[in-house]
Amino acid sequence: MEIRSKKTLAIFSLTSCGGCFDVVKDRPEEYFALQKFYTVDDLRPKHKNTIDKKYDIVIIEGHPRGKSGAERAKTIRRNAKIVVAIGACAHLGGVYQMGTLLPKEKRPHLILSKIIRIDYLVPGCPVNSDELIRCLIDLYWGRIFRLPDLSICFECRQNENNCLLKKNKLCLGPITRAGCGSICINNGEACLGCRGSKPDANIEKMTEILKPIVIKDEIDTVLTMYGGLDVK
Amino acid sequence: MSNSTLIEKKLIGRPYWQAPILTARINVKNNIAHSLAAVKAIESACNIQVSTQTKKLRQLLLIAEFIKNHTKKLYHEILPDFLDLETVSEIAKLHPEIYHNAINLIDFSNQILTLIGGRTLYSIANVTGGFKSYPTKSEFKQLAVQTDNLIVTARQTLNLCVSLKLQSEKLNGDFAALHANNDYAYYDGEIWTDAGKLFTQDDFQKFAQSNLDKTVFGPIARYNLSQSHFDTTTKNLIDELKIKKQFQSISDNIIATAIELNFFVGSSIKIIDGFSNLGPVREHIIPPRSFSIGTAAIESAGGTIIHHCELDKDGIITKYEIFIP
Repeated sequence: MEIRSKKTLAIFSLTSCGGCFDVVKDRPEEYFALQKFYTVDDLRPKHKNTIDKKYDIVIIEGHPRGKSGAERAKTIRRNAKIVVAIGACAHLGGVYQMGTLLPKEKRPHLILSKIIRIDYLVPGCPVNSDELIRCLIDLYWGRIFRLPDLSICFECRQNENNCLLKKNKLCLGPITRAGCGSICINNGEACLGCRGSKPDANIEKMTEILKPIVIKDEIDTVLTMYGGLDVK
Repeated sequence: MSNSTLIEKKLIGRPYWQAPILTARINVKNNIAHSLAAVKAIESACNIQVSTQTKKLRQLLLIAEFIKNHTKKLYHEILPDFLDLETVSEIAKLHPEIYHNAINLIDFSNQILTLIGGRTLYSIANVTGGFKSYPTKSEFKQLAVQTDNLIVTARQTLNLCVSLKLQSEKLNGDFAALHANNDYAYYDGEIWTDAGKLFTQDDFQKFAQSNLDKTVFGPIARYNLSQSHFDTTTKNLIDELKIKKQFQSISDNIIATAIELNFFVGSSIKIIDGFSNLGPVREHIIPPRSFSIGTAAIESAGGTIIHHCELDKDGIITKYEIFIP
């Protein structure tokens, strides 16, 4: 077997609940297995002091809030060979993003991909820990990590769930990117789009489908729960 | 703006059912406590009375979060300092028995969270009016089989904490926590302080507006105010180890946390045993009857959390306030 040296991995938090990497740390066997490939610096509580160090791979959770958040994100980008954005906060703005409900000039948050170049994305609220570990293993071996292009409906059917839309219940499954194994629908809840939209998602058509099910204003609030579905 | 302030603002104009989902994301550590506080506040505003079974399942969810947070606090934050180590990986290498105690407790809490809530983080099944999915009796039985060693593990944790040489820096201030007449309050109750003030949950604003700068929340406050309501096993443990009945110093919080860990492990096993004998019955989610104002308080590992919501006639949130110690 080819012997490679460990790569350096750092985890930084911008504005977020701080939960995304915890889903990996909550599975100690996987977390320690990861340390066979990486020297992990979990810098979330003290990132201000160590932001200038150089890393092979940097994971960013959260979104850059205000000018200082944007500057911090840019510094992290400069010092990282590869940046992986994880979670809905980094991807879509997250639950702290006021979405499209506020006028542009009053929106207090920025979306990470609009501030810095992101090499890879692991979406979700919280991220799917299997997907994140797969991403990190792929990157260690120099492989390209790809997200599924299908919608949640594909996984939902495989899991033999009954379609909520057919029962006249809210669900964003048809426009949301697969990869979570339809975990919410498996547990009786609707898909609320935390993984963002799949490529070529027809949001207008989705809105049309939802019109008889929920009132117009409610559709807007659902589409902006995790920031905004339309951010690729 | 703090995370909670941002969520308070974001909730305005949104339907009531989004509050538990969004407020859970204020802080990962207390995600269950926040979602339950929101669910209870909304149910109060919607005039929904949930069943005893729903309350039991929610209590179990909250207990799982307590077990996880207390274990992480003791094993990941406090013990490395006393063992002169920096990281959890070092504990794993040099003190594998201590490390495995932590793993067993965290793993147990994760299993409960997954079984009832659908996943370890951000419960899916627990919603306003009940649960969207239920575990089966056999799943509870499988979980019950694994609980044998946990009481021993929790006891070992307490012994370890009692053996630490703790400094005694005196705490100045009142203690505040939920208090109930017959139970060790963590899911329901009125807010008590040791200065004798008493607030019902509807007095939320009065409590939040009182001077709380020097008020102490969390395990030490709950222990001081409600330890007479512990179950017999926990009371015997306190007597056996000659632990004092009133804590006054900051480091006593470590002992209070370890005692609560024992209490919550015991309580979780009782609830799990109950459901493995008579599995949960599938209940319909109770719809709102009307929309008005609601307030609810709940205990989290860090202390009392209060949620207050105001809904318009269509169930849209017009005002949302969150109190976090």
